[in-house]
Amino acid sequence: MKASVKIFLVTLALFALAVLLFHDRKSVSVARSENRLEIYYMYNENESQADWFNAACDEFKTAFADKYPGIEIDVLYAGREVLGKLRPRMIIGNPPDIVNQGGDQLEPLIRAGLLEPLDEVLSLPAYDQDMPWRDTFIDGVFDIYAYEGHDYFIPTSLFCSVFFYDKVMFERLHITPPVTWEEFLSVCQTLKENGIEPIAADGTEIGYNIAWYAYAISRTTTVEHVLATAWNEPGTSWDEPCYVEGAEMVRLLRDKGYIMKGYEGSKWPSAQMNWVQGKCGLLYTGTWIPKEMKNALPDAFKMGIFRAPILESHPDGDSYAQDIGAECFAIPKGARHREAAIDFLRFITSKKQADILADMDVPSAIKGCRMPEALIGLDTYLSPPYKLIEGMAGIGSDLSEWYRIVPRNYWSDLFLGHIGPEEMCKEVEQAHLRYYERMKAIGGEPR
Amino acid sequence: MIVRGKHRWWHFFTHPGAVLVAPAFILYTAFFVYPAAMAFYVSLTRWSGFSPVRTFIGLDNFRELYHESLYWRAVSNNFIFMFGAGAAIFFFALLFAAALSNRNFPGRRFFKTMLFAPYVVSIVAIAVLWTFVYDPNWGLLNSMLSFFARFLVRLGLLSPDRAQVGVLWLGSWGMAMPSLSAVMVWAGIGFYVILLMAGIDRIPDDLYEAARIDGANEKQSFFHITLPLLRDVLVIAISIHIIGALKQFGLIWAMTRGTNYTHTMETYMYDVAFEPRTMSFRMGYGTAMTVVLFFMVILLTFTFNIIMRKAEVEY
Repeated sequence: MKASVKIFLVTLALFALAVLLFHDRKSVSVARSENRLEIYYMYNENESQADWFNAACDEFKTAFADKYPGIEIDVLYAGREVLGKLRPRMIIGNPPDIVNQGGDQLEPLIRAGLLEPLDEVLSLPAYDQDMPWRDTFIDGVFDIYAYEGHDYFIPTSLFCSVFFYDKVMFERLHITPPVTWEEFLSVCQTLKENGIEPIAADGTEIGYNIAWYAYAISRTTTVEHVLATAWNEPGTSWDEPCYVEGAEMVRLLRDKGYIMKGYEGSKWPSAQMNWVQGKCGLLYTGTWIPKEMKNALPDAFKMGIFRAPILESHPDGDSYAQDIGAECFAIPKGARHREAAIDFLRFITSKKQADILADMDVPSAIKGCRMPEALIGLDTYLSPPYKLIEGMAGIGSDLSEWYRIVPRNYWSDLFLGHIGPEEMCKEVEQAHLRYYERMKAIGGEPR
Repeated sequence: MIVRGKHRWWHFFTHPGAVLVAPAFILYTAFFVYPAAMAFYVSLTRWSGFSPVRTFIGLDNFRELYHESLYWRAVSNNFIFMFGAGAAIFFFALLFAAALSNRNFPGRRFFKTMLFAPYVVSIVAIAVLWTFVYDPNWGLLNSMLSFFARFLVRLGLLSPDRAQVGVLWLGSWGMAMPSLSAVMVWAGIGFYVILLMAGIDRIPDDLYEAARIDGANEKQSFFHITLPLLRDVLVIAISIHIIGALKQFGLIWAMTRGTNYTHTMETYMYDVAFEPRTMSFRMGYGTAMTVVLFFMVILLTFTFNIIMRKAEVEY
């Protein structure tokens, strides 16, 4: 063998050796540890929810010291980027024991067959209540993310879209929280007349923009009808009067000047800051607000909520529909410590832990636990006759690809005033037909 | 001594220089060649990007891509950036480069610095800055237009109801694409001016002197000496622009996050394959887009180079 070939091979060997010596050995040791529960958690380490989680992990280790002696809990604080960080672990078939993220975002993992169905596990006894684990959760919460008749997620905290207001401001202006759409418009008018911009909004957040139209059509028609239209069932179309009327409701808010000035270019968290500073009267967003704004609230500010108003002119609409999402925990298939993971989830969804969460202004999915002070009344909207639906007027993530291609940008543009109600409905219908034609052309399934 | 005709590719490994090249070769193979090859395979599969299982579906992703109007809108946007922004960039870059190459140009250094400054600023910072400029309610541009409109109202040249200008600069396809192109020109022109200036500085002065003696004016010198002799620099500059325009991502994402009318191939690919807000997670389909992009870049730069080679001149 020539000397140069030898040198080439030796260089290769040295390089390989260097890779072996200096690669990240921690990840391998974590994966191979027999007594370490690995959790991918959706919060950052400096967030208050992480404090609760850390404390819960310590309590779990103590409470289960006999069953899992010396168990360690390794938490990866992924800060909402759980899926991105999870991806390589799932691909190589070495998943963590527990993953945590909003339920809608975890759904692709179910569709890819990567999560454990938890139906049987949910019939185990609850950790600190004398009933099956499943029965401790609020009714209907599992239906939100059920997939092909199976439950894959354990919900912890809830995200519901509601209107937030300042009780002190409302008392001062003699305003009572509205129940109907007409009352809502009247509240907006009163606020405007008193020099307060009625609605706070960050138009650069597309999800928040869409929530307005999703709310409107869940009142002008039924959630079942919206779903039927999205699935292209015969006799349905996006330019039906109920959808145009929904679009007109959204447009009306803009035309009447009820949305804060400059909202089209406003970036999060400007809207909620304007609201707590009393510049705006109403904020339509999720129930994470009390926790998120806790440290920004002025002393004379008392947070209250009311539901998205009903539409008396449409008694056939879904007056009781309440959209809901949940932060969920799931166990990937192939998790090394399945039993410990199940016990851990039973433990952190105990009533005691739910009450601790409530004290931190986080509403819990556990029935009968305390409700954060700012969210008092929310439990009423979560039980019959109220109907829990997934976001985007019930469409949720079942048709995520359709949603991305067809209505997403149009619904947002409607709120931003870039497109009129009728034009928007026509455009959505055309995009919808194009999507289904394309699916037909390629023999694909709508998704 | 290397004998021609007996040179074979495996001789590379017996060459002493191979040792020096080996680490780079290994890294390049591991981190570019292999992933690129895998991308071709992934584009032929249905894959969420999470499961180890990929389902081979042949050319279905490409067929679907062919039928997807949003994707073609994104492609057309790339071409608008390539031709529209490109024409503006090279027109102004040539103009500025020709002017600033003149050593007697007043404030030469200042203008060079001013033109090049945006190029060294982070693209995200530029995007944030221009989002403020374009804001329909409190943006600099509309405020200035409103100020001007109020002035015209005072003069009685405009009706009072038109005093408040609320142009949605990024709000529709017709406005958003020119607005984004303008930012692209502003941010990128400095680089091309410097590149072209370097090319102009290389042209021997005696050619201009000879032209002057023969009675050529400045314009004739520019078109008959400067421009032809800048050909090789222009080829490189335009090739860089073509590749950049086709791979446009950062500016569009930071300014609009990609919408129906501002998506480029890259932002659309990200939306389809990675964006948790859209919950699409179609890695195979997204990768098919990058494969198409790869061939577009190759085809366009190759075609452009062939065209330019035919136009070669010598003095």
